Amino acid sequence: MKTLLLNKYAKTLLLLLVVLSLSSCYKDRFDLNKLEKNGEWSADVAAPAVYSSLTIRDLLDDYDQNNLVVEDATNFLNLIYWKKVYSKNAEDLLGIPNQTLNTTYTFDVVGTLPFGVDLVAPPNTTYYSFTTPNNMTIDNVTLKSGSFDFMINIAGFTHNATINIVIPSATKAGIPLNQNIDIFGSATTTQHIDLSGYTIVFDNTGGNQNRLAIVYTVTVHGQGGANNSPYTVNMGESFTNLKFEEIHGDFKQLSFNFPGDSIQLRLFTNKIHGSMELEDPKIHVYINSSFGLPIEINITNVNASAGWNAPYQLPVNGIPIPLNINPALSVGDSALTTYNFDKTNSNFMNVIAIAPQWVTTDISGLSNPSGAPASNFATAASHFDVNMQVELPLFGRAWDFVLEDTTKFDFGTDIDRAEYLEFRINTQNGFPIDAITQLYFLDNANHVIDSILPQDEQIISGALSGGAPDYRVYESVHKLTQIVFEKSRLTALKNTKKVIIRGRLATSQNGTQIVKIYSDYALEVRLAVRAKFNVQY
Amino acid sequence: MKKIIILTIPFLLFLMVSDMVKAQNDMTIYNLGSVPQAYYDNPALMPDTKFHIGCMPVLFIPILSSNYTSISNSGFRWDNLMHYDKTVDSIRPDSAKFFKNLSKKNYLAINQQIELFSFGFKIKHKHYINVSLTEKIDFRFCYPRDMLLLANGNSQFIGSEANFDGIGVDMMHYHEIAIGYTTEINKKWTVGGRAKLLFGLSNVWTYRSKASLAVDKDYFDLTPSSNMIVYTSAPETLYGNNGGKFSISDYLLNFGNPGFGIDLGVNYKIDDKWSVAGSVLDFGYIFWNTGTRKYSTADTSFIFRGIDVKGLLNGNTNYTDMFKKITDSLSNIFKIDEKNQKYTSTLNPKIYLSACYKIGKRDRVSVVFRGDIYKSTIHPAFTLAYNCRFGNILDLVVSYSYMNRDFLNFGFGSSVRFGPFQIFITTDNVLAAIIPYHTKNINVHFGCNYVFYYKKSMPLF
Repeated sequence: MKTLLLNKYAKTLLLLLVVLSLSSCYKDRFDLNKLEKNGEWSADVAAPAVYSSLTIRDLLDDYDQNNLVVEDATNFLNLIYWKKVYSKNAEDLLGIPNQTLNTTYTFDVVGTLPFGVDLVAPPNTTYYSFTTPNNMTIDNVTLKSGSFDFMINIAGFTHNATINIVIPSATKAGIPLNQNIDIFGSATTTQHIDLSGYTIVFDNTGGNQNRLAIVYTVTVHGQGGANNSPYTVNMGESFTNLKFEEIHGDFKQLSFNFPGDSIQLRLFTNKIHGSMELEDPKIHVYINSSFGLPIEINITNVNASAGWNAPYQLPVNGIPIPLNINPALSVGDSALTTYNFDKTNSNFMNVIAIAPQWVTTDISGLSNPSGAPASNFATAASHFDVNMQVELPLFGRAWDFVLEDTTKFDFGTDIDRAEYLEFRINTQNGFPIDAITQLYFLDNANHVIDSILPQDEQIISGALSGGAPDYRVYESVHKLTQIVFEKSRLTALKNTKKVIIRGRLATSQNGTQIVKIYSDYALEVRLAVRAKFNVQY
Repeated sequence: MKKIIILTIPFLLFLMVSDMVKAQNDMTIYNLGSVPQAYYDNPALMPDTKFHIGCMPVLFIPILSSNYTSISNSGFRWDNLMHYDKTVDSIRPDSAKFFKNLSKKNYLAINQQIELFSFGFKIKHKHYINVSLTEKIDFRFCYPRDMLLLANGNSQFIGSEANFDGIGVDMMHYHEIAIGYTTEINKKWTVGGRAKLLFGLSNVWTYRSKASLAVDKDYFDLTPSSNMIVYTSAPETLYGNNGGKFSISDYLLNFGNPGFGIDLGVNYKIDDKWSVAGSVLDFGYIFWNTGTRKYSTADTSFIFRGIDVKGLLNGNTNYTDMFKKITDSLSNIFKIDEKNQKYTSTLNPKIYLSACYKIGKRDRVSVVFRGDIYKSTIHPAFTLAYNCRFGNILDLVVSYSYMNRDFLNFGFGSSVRFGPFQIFITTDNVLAAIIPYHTKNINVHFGCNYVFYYKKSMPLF
């Protein structure tokens, strides 16, 4: 019996050994080093890509300090393109240059000069006429800053001295300028007198112009040496860095010009052709002057330039030449002069019809145009600005209005891993505008490889709008567009280097209906993407 | 005792990671009446022994009498995941087969039970008392099918949602001190029960797990949603506290998380041939007080409709800022709230129902149903077993089981007695050793005891 049992155990043991050896054969199945090379795993992924509700502000991307989307009380929108085409401040126009006097005179003191004895020489008056830009006459000027500089030297002088400087017509708080400068022997003495806050009244009588009287009086302090009079003193004086706070006088006829400044109308930047009729476009010219100075300006050569539409350049006519600019009536005031040009007094409506990207203008002008003696004034803050504004009310119609933009684009080499690519474009359009959009994929040689949509596929349908005078949209329109790229098309797209985005826009009923654009209109765009692709492991 | 526990830990950890780690349902031992540990599946099944002490064969001291280890994966077999191509001697993922075999919820479960000490004895044939000290570790990871299906992309869920309900981890490590009592009421009825005092050591409990990802049918909008609550109890070191110093003795001697459990069983002899039995096990709670945390997210969802390109059009933003904004929004919406909070977790109860037919004095057949109650769901397993005794030393059982949605489970069990010294081993799936790539269940239960019978030989059925 025991033998029988042992045999059984031996058989069981043998069976176990067989089992264990079998199991070792299957290690291969768990060996991840034997994982198939270049195997692929497919995944089919769907996700929303873009969800945006775009108003006209978002679509035009046209709002910054120079480009404004402005709405009125009814939410109706105007595009405003603005530019300061000319600007001058008082310093630019009337800056007083540095003046060099360099007075030299001889003085004589009578008597001996023992130590401690002072002898006063007779005063010397120097008259100096300021040179001014455009030979303007200054009646008086209040200085914001400035310096009266000296480099004084008395040749052969063996004593000390004090020079008293007085400008009777330069006062500060009613007190004339009165300064002493000490001199030590024959050494050159440098000194600066701060003129800030001084008001200088110039002598323009008796044939003088901008004349200033300066009185120098020398007091010699005896040092025990001999009196070798007469002595010659070189004052080496000059007026430097004069900046005025306020200036009065006759500024004469200042002429200026500023050619070729332009306003960009970004609405039309990417347009390649088509027509647009805006009902009431306008050009506004705003001229602001805080000079007490009559100015006459000429706005000439106002041209609209369109890169795509003939006649490519169109002059804006109807702008009067010259334009008389009102002067400020009193110091600190400013005067605004406005000129408006629209379809009633110019051809600007026809100009806009060519969808110009730029409006260019030349500005020139002349002050005191009559040439008669004048009494003008200015302050440091005075400025003269010419601002031009192009106002495009979004009210009108457009047809076959094609916008285009080109951008670099590369799908990368992995695009052929995709089995297919599906775009699902949902639009809910609140604008009374239809859009046919197309994307062209181009290779290096600018050959079109493929396009994303069937020809003339309208992916945005215009909303339905009511009649005059408001032309309000009463119902937005939904459109679903599905685009599927199969593998063969995707493989071809590997060579894509550029994408041209072209949109053809038309207002309702193929551009025959006038529309108005309001700020509460929006285009809801939802782009979803589905792709099946293979991942290599 | 402390030394014994400390010495046990490395052994336990070794079992967790070694190739010896097997088994989950432990169905075969139920039919191996010569092994005292079969009693743990139904405390009404009075062991054949008059007296036993669990012991190790080498040390000859009454420790480590029984080791039970299982790994089961209800979702897929290895050859569902990787196809072996003999012709080129390579393996490759077989996604079709893999996903076809997945259930809505799938579980990777690891279970480890080490009986450190046990003994049991009968009083006047009709009463039986059993005492045991056991170390138990349960780990389950639930992975929903939809989560794995996402590897194929989310397009399959367009117009519906990928449901991740149930995703999460549950883990419990505790000491169990049990005392059992069984009594034969009369010739037909036997009843028994075990009262268990538990001391929790560490726990991860996914209390609530609701998550999904919906894909809109028109716009492909993605809507992730979640509502999660996870409780944990662990040494503070594991949270980065206490200066990162982990003390294994502090861990094992933590009696701050007490609990209790109860097993109940009944056995009814219909006649000399037939008997039926039933038991409920592991009804109980552990009160977690030390190193506890509650991690939760609000019941929330987020609809991703795509990127708003407004900012890009007007140059006010760039892609980096935009994606950061989106991820910041997601982080805020699905923010995980952490707080210290004590909690009470339940054990995972089991139900056994069995019927036994004696063919002769040495052999019998039985059918066993086991229901594992987890997350309010019964996970069933069925076993058909044939048990035969040879001489007075050898007790054999062969079984066939359906478990973890797998029909390919052929089990084997045996106990051999050399004098008073008994060794035993059972497994529910011997095929795991032969074709491991084609199995979902790997388990083994082995141990040794000193056993003593009323008569010299092992009793017959």
